[in-house]
Amino acid sequence: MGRVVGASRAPALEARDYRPLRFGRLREFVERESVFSWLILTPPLLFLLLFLGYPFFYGVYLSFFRREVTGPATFVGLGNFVTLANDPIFWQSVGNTIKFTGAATVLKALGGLGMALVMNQNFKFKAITRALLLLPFIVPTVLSTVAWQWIYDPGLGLFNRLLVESGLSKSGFSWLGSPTMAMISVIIVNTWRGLPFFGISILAGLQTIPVEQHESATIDGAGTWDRFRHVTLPSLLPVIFIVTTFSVILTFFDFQLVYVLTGGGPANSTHLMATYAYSLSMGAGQMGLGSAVALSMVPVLGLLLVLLTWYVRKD
Amino acid sequence: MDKAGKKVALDSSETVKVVEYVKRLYKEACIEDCIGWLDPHNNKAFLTSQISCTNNAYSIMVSAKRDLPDMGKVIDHALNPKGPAGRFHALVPVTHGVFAYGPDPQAAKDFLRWIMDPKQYRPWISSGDMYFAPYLHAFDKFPDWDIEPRVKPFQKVLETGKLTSWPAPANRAHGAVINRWIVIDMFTKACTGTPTKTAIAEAVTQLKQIYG
Repeated sequence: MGRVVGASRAPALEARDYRPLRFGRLREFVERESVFSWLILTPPLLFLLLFLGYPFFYGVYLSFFRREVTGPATFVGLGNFVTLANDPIFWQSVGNTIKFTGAATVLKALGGLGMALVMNQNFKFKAITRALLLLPFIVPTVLSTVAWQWIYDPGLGLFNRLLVESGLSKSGFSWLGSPTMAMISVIIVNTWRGLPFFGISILAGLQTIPVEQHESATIDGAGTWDRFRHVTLPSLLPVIFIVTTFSVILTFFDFQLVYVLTGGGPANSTHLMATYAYSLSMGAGQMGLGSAVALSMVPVLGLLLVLLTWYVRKD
Repeated sequence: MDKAGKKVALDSSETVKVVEYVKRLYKEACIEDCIGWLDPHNNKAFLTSQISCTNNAYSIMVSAKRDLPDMGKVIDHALNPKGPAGRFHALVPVTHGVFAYGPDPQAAKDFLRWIMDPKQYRPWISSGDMYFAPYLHAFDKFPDWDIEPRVKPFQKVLETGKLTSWPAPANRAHGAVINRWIVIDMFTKACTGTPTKTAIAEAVTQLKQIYG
């Protein structure tokens, strides 16, 4: 860059007196790409360090202490983790988180793929349909979850009223009342909310597949299913992989949905690790123990990030 | 917990009897949903005629009198049934605290002393229509209890009301037990299929972990 500027400036410099630029040296230093990029990165980096880094490191620090609200902190080393290892509710929340994440991600991936394939077609009102299908993801989670609370209400809720009025059921289901149904209900809401994320991302991937590939496949005699299997799916796999990893991360750390809908559910049956950490810290005032639960989620996050980085670097 | 608050007393034959009783109660007299209820759900269930009896403060009658007058006319209150060890009610005190690190703790304490004086306290309690019951003995014969006779059982509750930690003292550990729903979950698990002994054992383990 410097050489090109120099070459184009040369005649101008010869034409008049050369005067050194104000702060010339400093400006030259700043305009170096390596320096400039760090300069641009510094404000957001500081922001992240302050609002993400500081709470994170404080949480790590807290997890090694017995720290109750309004009480002094006493160092317990790995004591909190030992307590958690013997806590059946902690293990229940781990199991719940895995079940919740696994089921919801599979449903979202399949549903998102279907949604993307539909949205990729040309039909009337395509634009407005796409906008409407995005709504679950855009509406603030707390708002939509409160609405779902009403939908699931055993007496007045939409689902049970429809079931009872249509004669399909005498009294409807106990959507949030029984441990199994509560987990199913929570998975349904998470799937409803996360589907557009998959749909939109996979749609973007679909639109990068060259039309010629489809055309040549059709010419070679491939039917719709064959085209999907041999043209669409292989091209989509990278997108699906990345989106799935992101979704697993977001779903694993989900808090709002479960907190609003069931608060951890009947007898801890929908407690995720995030809601359990909150319940221990804010509910029971045991900040050290809550931080330890939160910290025990980090290895999973680390693993997923490593996986994602490996995959991206591979390309 | 025991009276000293040191030993876990939940592991007993009485607890087994209670859990078995609650299992029967749940199966025969409660709607399935109640194990997933949060605070407002029983009010809602009662006011929408899903249930006809519940354990609550008298807020349900207040809502009914305002929004469902026909129901409001027939609602009444009664004391908890008596058990083999006596009649008990849960006392949920609303208490005041002064932060020691505040700019003027003494002024805050003086204010509390002032507001608890009968001259200020009576109108304050009256303005709540006796929803908040004054439980200092000086106010035992509070005349406002007679305004709505159907709330008089709440006045009688004070005679048998106990803090939820009773007979143990109420302390931070007990707060953790309440906030982590340990005893409630014991009943919920038993009602949803966990064997009684297992549900009790799990609650005892957690109590031991909390009380240390």
